[in-house]
Amino acid sequence: MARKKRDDEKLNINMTPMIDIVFQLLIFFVMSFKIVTPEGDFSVKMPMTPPTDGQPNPEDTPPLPPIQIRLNSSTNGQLLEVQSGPRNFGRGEAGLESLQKFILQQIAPKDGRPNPEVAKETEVELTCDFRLKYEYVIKCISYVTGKREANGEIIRIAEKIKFAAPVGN
Amino acid sequence: MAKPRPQETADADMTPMIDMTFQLIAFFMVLINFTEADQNQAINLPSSELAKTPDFPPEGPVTLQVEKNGNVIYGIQTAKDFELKDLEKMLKDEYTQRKLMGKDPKMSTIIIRGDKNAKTGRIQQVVGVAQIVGYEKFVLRAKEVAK
Repeated sequence: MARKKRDDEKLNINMTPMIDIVFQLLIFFVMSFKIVTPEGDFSVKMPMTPPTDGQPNPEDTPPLPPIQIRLNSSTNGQLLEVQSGPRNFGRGEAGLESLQKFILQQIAPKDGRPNPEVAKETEVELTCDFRLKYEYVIKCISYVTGKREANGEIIRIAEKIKFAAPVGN
Repeated sequence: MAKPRPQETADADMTPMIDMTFQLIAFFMVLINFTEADQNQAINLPSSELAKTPDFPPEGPVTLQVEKNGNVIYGIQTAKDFELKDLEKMLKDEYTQRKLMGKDPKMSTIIIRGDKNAKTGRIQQVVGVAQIVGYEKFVLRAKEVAK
């Protein structure tokens, strides 16, 4: 009888310490786990100095002049006006949408689908009010860099973005 | 022969539980992200459906985060809000350090993580400081949203 019992004991490995440690590890990882939202980037060109007067260097001049966009803000940072040259596209997202249509008309008058080569060369220069909320700048960049079709396809519009010095303070 | 039965019921089979627990540990270990300095959760990024995840991780990135109130966060100095001239000094130090290490600091990318309610002018000031130091490549970071 005694012999049989000893055999049985030998078979049972004590799991308790391992499970203790494993659970501790698990709790550590669960606690320090953080769900990270995916983040994407927009590349931008930032001119080092404001444009100088005089004859520009022909090598520096892009084939197409940049599309000038002016974003005016209200005192609390809301987007009040979207302008390009003499045109005023109105306020908020509706203004940005009209701006997008306008740019598409300029660079792809036929079907609204710019040639990828043209999109690569099209440059946009943003002049923003100092107090404009940054959110609107990103929205504007989204509208001018591309358009997502209903089927998920992205049409590239202007791939080069640069900023002019902010206006006001 | 009926005797061993009570002993058998006392031993629960631990194998499936341990299997699952190890799987869970492996899952969390792989996904854990310790680089908290690069992604300050206090910053509410603007969202965009066109912001694209870079194909290659940026080379020698320097992350500058701008809070809603205009405070700039650089590296691990999270709680400290500093003046732009302090930032310029810190970026300059980083720039010279990279040069000494034989890297081309001009190739480093400055990642701008600005709060969506921050003032655009402030973000442009921060970018301006980095330009004065000599950095040339910039990316603006946004939250990716699927529509």
